[in-house]
Amino acid sequence: MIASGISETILPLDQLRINEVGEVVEIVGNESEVHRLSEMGLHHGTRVRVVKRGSPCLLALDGKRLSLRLGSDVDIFVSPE
Amino acid sequence: MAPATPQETGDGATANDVRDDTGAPLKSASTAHSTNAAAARLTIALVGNPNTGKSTLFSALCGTPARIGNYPGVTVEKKLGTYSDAHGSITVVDLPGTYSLAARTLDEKVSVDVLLDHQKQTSAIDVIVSIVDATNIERNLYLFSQLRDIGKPLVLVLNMWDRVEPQGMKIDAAGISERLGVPVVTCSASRRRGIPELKQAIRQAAMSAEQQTRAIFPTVLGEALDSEVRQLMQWTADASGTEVEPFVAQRLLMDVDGVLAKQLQLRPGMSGLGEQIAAARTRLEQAKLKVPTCETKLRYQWIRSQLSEFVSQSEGNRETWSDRIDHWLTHRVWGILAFAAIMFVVFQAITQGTAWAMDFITDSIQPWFAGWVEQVLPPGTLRSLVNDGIIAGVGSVIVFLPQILMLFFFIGLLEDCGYMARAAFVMDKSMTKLGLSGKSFLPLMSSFACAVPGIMATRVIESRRDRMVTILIAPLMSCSARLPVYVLLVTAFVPSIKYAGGWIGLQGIVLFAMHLVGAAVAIPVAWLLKKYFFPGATPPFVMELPSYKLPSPSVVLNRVWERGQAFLTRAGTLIFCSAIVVWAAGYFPGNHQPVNELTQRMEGIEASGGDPPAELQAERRKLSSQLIEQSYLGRAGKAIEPMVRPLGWDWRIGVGAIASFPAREVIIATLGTIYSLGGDVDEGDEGLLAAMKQSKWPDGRPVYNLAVALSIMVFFALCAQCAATLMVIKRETNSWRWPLFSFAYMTLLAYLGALLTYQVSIRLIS
Repeated sequence: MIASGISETILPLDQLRINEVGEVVEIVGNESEVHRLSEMGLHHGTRVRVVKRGSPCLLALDGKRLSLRLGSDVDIFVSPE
Repeated sequence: MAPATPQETGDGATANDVRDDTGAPLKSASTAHSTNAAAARLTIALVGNPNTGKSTLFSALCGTPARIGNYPGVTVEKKLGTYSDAHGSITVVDLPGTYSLAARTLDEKVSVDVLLDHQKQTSAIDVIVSIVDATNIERNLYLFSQLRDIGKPLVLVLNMWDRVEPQGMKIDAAGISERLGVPVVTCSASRRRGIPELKQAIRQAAMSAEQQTRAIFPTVLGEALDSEVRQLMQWTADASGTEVEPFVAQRLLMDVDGVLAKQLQLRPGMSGLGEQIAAARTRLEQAKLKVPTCETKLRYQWIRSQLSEFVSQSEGNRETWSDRIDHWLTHRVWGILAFAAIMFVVFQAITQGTAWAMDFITDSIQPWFAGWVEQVLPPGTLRSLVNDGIIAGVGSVIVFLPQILMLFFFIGLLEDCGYMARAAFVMDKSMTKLGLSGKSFLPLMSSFACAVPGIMATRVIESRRDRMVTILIAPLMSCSARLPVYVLLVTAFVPSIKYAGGWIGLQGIVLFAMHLVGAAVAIPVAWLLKKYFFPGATPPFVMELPSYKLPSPSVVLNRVWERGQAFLTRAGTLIFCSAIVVWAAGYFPGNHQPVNELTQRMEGIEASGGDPPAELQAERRKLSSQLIEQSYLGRAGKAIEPMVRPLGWDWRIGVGAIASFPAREVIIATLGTIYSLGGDVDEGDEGLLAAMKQSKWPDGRPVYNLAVALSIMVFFALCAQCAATLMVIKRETNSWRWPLFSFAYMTLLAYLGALLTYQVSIRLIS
């Protein structure tokens, strides 16, 4: 599921540092939860920047700010830039 | 970043060619020649994601909403408004903010029903207005792409246009309009810009739609899905003669566990629908189109291909000033301190900033009014009804209008500048300890204004268990109806000590503390409810934070105006009626002849310029207090006095507390009436406040002191004295069990809390 042209490193979202930007490579887990996230704009290919780490964390998706604390059944993997 | 990636697929791009039928509306009214009378009245729907400025746009179009209600059977607020243009009047339906038209719950289905004209209470929608935050155009167009598949005339609003350039974005609105085949209007609703253009575009879209029938296919989703949609439509037609719209068929296929399928399946001949859908999904999966993920994938692909030429963004996603603010305001320590500090300032402002207005009403307006009534009406039942029942009763409540307006001013300010969502973010951590999420925080916060909209706001909580817990603790939040009770007792019995050079007052501190009582008690209550009644895992928390902005004066003042109106309406209806009932119970039975004659004699002396002797006044007070003690109210009060004595209350307070079960403010009206009937309020003195300070037990001790005031306030902080709240709990939980439960547990808590407060504080004070 790795899009071409981006680096090979893949990390769980919570491993990104503050203000580090990463591209969402994969969201796995509970299907309806994953779908809901994608409707809100968090899906494969979205570039996210971590504004605040922790639980919940605060993500910047361009101009949009999303607060996020996922259940244990959803994992987001990103490829840092 | 560049959402403007090169066109990845061509299949989406062809979709718009057929739909070029709304004309090229940014140009001119070339197609708008039809001025059919039937088209003069229009109904339009506003649809958009949360935080796109939809309600601001609604008020920019319509002013205050004409009607707010609920759709039948669900908890979705129905908000209608109207405006007029040169051709006729337009009804605006404001649909709840949503990210998607996928209908997983009955509440989500309402929007679909309204848009497809299945909602019996709303007239057919002529034009759909899709509102998009221009700075988030790519993500926001997801909903637009679904609206597009409905096949009705659409107008796309790029709102927050004023922020596009400062963010280094470039958007070619005319190009997008041409590409998508829909009128595009750029707006800054908060600055009232672009509104006339929007009204014109809506009218044009409706007029050009008259001449053409709109083609639905091909949709954004591509031929493979469209053919399954057609097949499903065919099947429902063959199986039971049910004609479903292409959009409905699309949703049937796409919404896993969707509510539309569940409802349709119940119709005769449709029991095989589930199998049909499952078979279609299997075929799609074989074609590498897995439901539901393929929908978002295809739509975002389509959006990128449409926008690539027309939107460019600076190499962005860097830290902004709002992120630096968020760094502090969402900090786990500073964030909570900042929240507490903000609330503290709000309650200081409420006590210190409105005292002059309150004094003006009690010192000038009320006595003037009472004096006027005394000139017009002779002493008797009618004058007593007006003066003791209405002016002393309802008037005592209206005195608190300035405080209510002040509270809503601050709530409006905090909401509109974007702070409230940050508070929810900070609170999420503490809420998870109770097994809830930050999502529960916003309904609880709005319950500080009023539990009724607060409980209705719980519908954003996806998990039913969390929603139930939030509903049951929401009435513990200190609502604005408690504010008058607190303010009355605080100004009367808490010493007016100032600290920090007069900036901080003890009264404000006590008022703030009273607002914390309910919230503090809610913590163990929520924990117990979650543990024993609604056990379940802590829900995930996904919420969009709106960007910070300068609060718009019109939005804030509108909110203040709305709530001020609601408060006065309540005072004029529910509280008015309660006050009259209380007055009648306090007036009858009894022979008022002697006291009326006495009053007439005294007024005669006054009219001739003299002062009535003190013994006449004492005589009248004695007669009046005998009358009220013999009245129905007095007898009932004496009967319950033993029950409320441990709380430090006399029979008057007990009657007041019981009379306030329909609505909290009634205690003020009741006390106002009791003291007025009892002759305790003299003309020209400060009304209820002074009467309470002078009120004495038969042995001469004053009834009220700080301990009694605290005990009353704690009782009111915890008690479920609000019929409207209980009714809304019944409606939202669809059972009588939960309102009864709330009523019982809160009343018990209130009694025990007041008992504890009085017994402890009376020992500390003496």
